[in-house]
Amino acid sequence: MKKLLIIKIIALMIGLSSISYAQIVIVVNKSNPLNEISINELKQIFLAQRTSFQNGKSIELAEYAKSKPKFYDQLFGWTVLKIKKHWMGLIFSGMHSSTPKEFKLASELIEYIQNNDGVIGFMDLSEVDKRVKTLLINGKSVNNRDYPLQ
Amino acid sequence: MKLQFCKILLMCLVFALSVSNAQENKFHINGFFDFEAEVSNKDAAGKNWTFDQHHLNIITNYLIDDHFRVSSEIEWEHGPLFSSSSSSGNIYLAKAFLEYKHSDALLIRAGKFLSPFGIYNERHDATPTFLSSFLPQSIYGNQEQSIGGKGRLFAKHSTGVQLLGSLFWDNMSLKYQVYLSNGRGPNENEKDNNSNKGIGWRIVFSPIGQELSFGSSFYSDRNGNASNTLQTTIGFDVEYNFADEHIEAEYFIPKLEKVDGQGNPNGKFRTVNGYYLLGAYTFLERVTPFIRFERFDSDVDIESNTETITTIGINYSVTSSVFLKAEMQLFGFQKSLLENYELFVTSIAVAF
Repeated sequence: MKKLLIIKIIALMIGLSSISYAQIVIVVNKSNPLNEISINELKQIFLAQRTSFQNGKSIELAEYAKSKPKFYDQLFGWTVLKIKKHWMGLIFSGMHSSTPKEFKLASELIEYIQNNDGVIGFMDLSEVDKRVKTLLINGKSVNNRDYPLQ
Repeated sequence: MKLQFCKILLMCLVFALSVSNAQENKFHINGFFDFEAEVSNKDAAGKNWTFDQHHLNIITNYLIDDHFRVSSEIEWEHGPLFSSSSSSGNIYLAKAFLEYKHSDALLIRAGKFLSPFGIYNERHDATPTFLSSFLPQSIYGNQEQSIGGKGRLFAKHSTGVQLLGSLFWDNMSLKYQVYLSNGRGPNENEKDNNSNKGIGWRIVFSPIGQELSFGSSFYSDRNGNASNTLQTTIGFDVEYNFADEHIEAEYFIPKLEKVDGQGNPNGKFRTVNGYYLLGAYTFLERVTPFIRFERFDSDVDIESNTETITTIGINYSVTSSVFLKAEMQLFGFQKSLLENYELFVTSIAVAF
């Protein structure tokens, strides 16, 4: 009984550690000329301060539900509740039209980005595939030790 | 007339909802609702518990393409009822504008918009976005105008054109809004009743990202509702918004032209000032106690006429869209005719 409990605790710890090390990647449509983004640009985009890519194309934001808490915590030190309140302020003040589109399944998010060239989103590295392009952040790839979102 | 307006509005909404299903990414409907209960020891009426279905606002946005957007907001305030025998509450168009986006650095708006003034005027009644049930009255309250009557000491709404945009340098940003309008008047959304236009601007500078911002606002017009008196208001604000801590403060100085015995502007001015400070801390992600202190001086040349409001409250996020609030407001008056009193307010605010 005691051994079982210890095994369960260890399994839980392994599970938690794998969650905490899940890396987040920024993904765009493959036709997007962007290959790299700075962390400051990323912040400005996900606060809806920047609403166009450098080529003038309007930005549409997409969120992967599972990665949201970690992404907003790493990017701003904010909870999901706090970012939602920020969006309410933007919409009710007339500065923006809609909140980011949220996806519960990674496959749906990938499909959406594949079919819409103005979308930028985030998701777990483990669930990304070749149908979308992964951006470098501050010139660092996700495998780099200094990658900002880990 | 107003009943007809309501019917047309309802039809528009039903139509809009059907359109929204067809054009999911182009048409967006949002809004907010709030409901209050309050009691005070101000007077006999205040001692009765009062319920108030304060706001129901519907906001629509239609994205015509990558550059053009039409935005609108309609407010139903205090559960409006209009019939042949009685009327109460208000229904009005809070904003309706066309926006053209050239780039993030330059957008142009034309129509009716909420004047960009201070931290809150553009959000105006959107109670889900602020901690207290009420906006700080020192800045956003209805105050005495030049010839009596009450109103904000800047135009809450403006009908005209607005240029706005954001500029970026690394983690710094500068947002600007500049506008030209009819100014205030008896029919300000249709006709300017004097030759002077309302002008205003707001800039917000964020030096280290989203955590800290400094803002300044300006508004000036000849108020057609107050004998075309010249009114000019300048304001400053600061917001510090870290993970769990939130601090904000606003200060404004309106100057209102006085009138002579015949009710004509006489070139002399009454200077007003007001400010508030707010501090809040969020714990357990959802619970945010806050304290706010406000001071308002309706004429700096007259002594002992300041008013203060101290608000101590708590805001609880039931979900990410539903907020419960409770607060005590302590009103203090230097004027000998007015007695201090307390107001207790509890409310629920919903965003959708």
